[in-house]
Amino acid sequence: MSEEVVKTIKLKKYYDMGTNVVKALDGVDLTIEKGEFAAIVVKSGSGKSTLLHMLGGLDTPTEGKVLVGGRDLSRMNREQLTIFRRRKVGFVFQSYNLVPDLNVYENITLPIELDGGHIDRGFMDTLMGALGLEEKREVLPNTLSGGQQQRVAIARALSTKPAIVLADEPTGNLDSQTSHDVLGLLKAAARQFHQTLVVITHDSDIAQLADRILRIEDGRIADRG
Amino acid sequence: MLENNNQRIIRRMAKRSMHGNTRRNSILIASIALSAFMLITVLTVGITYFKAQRDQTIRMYGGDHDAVLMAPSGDQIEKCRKDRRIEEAGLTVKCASAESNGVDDSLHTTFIWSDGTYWDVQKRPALKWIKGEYPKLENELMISMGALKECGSENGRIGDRLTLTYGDKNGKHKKEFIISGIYEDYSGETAAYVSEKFYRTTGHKPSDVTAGVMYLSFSRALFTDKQLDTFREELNLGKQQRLFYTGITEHSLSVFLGILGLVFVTCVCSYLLVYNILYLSVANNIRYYGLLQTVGMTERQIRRMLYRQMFLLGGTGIMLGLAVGSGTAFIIIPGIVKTIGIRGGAVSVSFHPLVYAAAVLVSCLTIYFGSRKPAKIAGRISPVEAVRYTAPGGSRKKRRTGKGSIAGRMARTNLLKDRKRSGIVIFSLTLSISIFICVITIIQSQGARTMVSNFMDFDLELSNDTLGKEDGSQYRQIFDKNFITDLEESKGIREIYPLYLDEITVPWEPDFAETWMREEYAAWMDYPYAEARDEYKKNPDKFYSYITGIDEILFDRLKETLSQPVDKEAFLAGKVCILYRNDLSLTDKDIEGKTLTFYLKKTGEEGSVTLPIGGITDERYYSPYAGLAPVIIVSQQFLHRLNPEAYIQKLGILYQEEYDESAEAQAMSIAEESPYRTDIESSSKIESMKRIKESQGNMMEFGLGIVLILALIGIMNYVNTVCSNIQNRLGELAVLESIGMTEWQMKKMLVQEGLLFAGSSLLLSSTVGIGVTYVIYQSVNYMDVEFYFPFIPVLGVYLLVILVCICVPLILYHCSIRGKSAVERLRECQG
Repeated sequence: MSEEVVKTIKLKKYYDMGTNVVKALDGVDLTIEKGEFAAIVVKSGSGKSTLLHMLGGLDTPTEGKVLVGGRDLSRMNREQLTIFRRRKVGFVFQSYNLVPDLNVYENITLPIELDGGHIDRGFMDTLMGALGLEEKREVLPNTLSGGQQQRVAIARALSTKPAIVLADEPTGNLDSQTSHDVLGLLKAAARQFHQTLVVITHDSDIAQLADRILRIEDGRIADRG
Repeated sequence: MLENNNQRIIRRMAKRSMHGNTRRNSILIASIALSAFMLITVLTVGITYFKAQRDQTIRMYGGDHDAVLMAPSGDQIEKCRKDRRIEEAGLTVKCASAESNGVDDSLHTTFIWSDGTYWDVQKRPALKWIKGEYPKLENELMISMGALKECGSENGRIGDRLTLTYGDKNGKHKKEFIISGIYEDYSGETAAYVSEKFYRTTGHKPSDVTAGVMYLSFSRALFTDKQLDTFREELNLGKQQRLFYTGITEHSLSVFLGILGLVFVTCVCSYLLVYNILYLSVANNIRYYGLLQTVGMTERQIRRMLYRQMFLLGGTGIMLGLAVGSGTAFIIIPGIVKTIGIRGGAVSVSFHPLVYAAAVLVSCLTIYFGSRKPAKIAGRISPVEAVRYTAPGGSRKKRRTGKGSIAGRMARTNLLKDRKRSGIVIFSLTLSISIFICVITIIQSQGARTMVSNFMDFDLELSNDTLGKEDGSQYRQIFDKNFITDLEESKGIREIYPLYLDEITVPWEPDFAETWMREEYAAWMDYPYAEARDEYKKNPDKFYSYITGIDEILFDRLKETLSQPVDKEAFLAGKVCILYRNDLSLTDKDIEGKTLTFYLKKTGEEGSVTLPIGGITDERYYSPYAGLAPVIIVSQQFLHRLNPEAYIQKLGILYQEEYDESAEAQAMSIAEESPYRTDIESSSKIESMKRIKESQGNMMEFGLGIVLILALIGIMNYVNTVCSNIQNRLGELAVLESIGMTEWQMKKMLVQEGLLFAGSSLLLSSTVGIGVTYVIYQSVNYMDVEFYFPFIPVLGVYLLVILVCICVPLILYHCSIRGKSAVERLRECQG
């Protein structure tokens, strides 16, 4: 029997821009199941990151609910959301968002350390091996290429074995070859470690790699693939 | 080559960039203003402080002079008056001393003649107030309030008559004087100034030992030790002559260097503040400068644009700083001083145009030098680098995986990331703390309580004045058993230490007595010993002296003043005695193996005692009166064996609690009830403290003003740094939050960073800072006041620094995020 990992119910996010209101999300209902690789295709500037941020508890909806692993995010305070994020969600940002002062290994293990958890060295070695980062363990992020930095970000997202990995245009800053490599790695790693993967992109080619494609237009789901 | 007229566009860009960065510019203007403000207030208040300290010195010395020459000869007077190095040379002669007013025959009032220079120029600044004229007629007196009180005419007015018996070189006289003037000074002296006509009748000359004094005011303020030694040598002093320099003259160079050091440190603090802000401001805008380069602005144009901005911002900041600084120095601080000050009266702040010139100059130089490096960075950064620019420094490629908690590790990493910037902040905080410690140490050590240093720290000393009378039959045992019991039973009194005294005769003998007398005559008498030797041999009783008896505790204190140890048991058992040196040039060698034979006046020659001399002391407390023959100090028990009825000359009293006014009131009322109350002289620590406080004026409050400003500057510098540090890292902090760092962990990390700054600064200031403080203190300590480390204020400032270093990052973080979600902040930073 399939298990729902993420569910949104009539999710709305409106931005008040003074004279007019921008409806980034306008009643989005979606369900993502465990182990699924879903791609959400959103036209650029149509609130693509907004949805991802809502799913990860980084932003609060104007209306509606987000349930992750059956838990309603709107009922959590900021502290609970942060703890929830580091345990249940792995983020991969378009601009990598690595901590410049920490080396590759420290960046990857950061969410575990923040949670006061024990670092499973065997798992870390496997993860770094899978992403081709063994040689870069003590290197600082500013010396890495874009593709390498994104691989570190993916490793960081997977390090806590979260219930869901949310990737926001993970290949937005990469050339097409590196994009395919990175996405392939992301997909393979998610499979290997049995994780649910939600990728937001505006690139249909990349979306083709997913098990399911959801299209959002004008703040609503237009096509459920 | 044709000149490219790009001034207009640079001007416009500079203006636009300024308008677009209101927040940054406000911080920059505020920092420059703060720096100018600091210089103005610290220098103005500092000058006022040192002026107040100089006033205090003048008031405590009783005159405005730099050196004192005792018993000057005619040639020396002439020489000093002609010497170009000397601006003023005032002359006084102590020509007589009042002995009785018919009621009290133990007066201490001295009659002094003074020339116009001393009275009008040198003495005047040390007077609290003055009424009437300097005496012209032979029977006129300009009398001090202290002397009036002693003579029993406390409410005396100008024109009143005063009949006094006085003694001069020609003998005793009784005369009716008319008060031509009354004055009060800060030392509470008991003196009456007399006319030249009167002085001529007394037989005294300026060259008489203990009579003539020449007060010298030098025309320059700074002297090296060598120059002072040369001046001393040039005067060619005789054995009876002494030249003393005032503390400030003797230490003028080191005081000047000490002050210069403090001013320099203040300027460095100010420089660091502005430099840090400019540096941070450029670092924050590095992407913008990169952008300007991509659209074709040259390195030179960027630099020029930055300088132009700095000129505009700097000008505004300096003006603002000068205005606020002047307001603070001339209105707010005096206002506060007046409000909290115990003393009334006008609070005058020294105005010095040079301070303004210095403040503007230092601020301008600071802005120029502070802008050079950042302007260079802004101009040289390549557009590509600028886009990727995250923070200054960071040229490292690798980093070993650290140990310990992640928050602590990140805090350490952040501190070490830009070592230069962290170094500047730590250095600046250290300077502020150290300068705080230094100034507060100087202020606290110069505090009235610390400066009062009675012998053995006695709260009150009561003396029996009848023992100072010439006629031995008038001696009285004022401090009898009842008197002492009354004191002992008083509530606030803890201990009483009596000093016993009796008259003795030291008969002539060819060895030590002969040596002593030769020295004594050479140093203190107007005629040679050869003329007196025969008389001394025949009538030694005429050359009387004193013996003082002390208990074990007073002996322990006396021991500390001796250069050679004296066996306590032997002293207490009366097997050895100690002598008072009386400023003679006798050394331990001169007394080695010597004995002294003496007998009490009461017992006569039959009671002769011979004691080995164990040591020689300079502590005046043990010799209340000077004898021609040596003053001998023995144990109380031994003196009692010689004469069980020896007089108590002095009582040293300690209260249960220092400065307890009620205990003092009780003790004084016991003295007042005594039938001999007019013959009891008191010296109180509370009174001395009040006098010092009075002479200090508002010195302490101004010192505290400086301290507060410096503390504010140090804190502001730290606030500025942390502010831009957090601004710079908002994106990084948002990332950390998005991947799971809770607010608590974030705050913990920021607090740890703050504690690292505080810890490093406190460690440096506790070691190097305190060391430097000690050196500076000793160099400006011309009054030889003991170094007193102000533990409580320093502990207070340490706690304040820790508190600030903890709270400021938290408050700033809170203000920076302003309730925005991590995503909003990420969006803003990636903007």
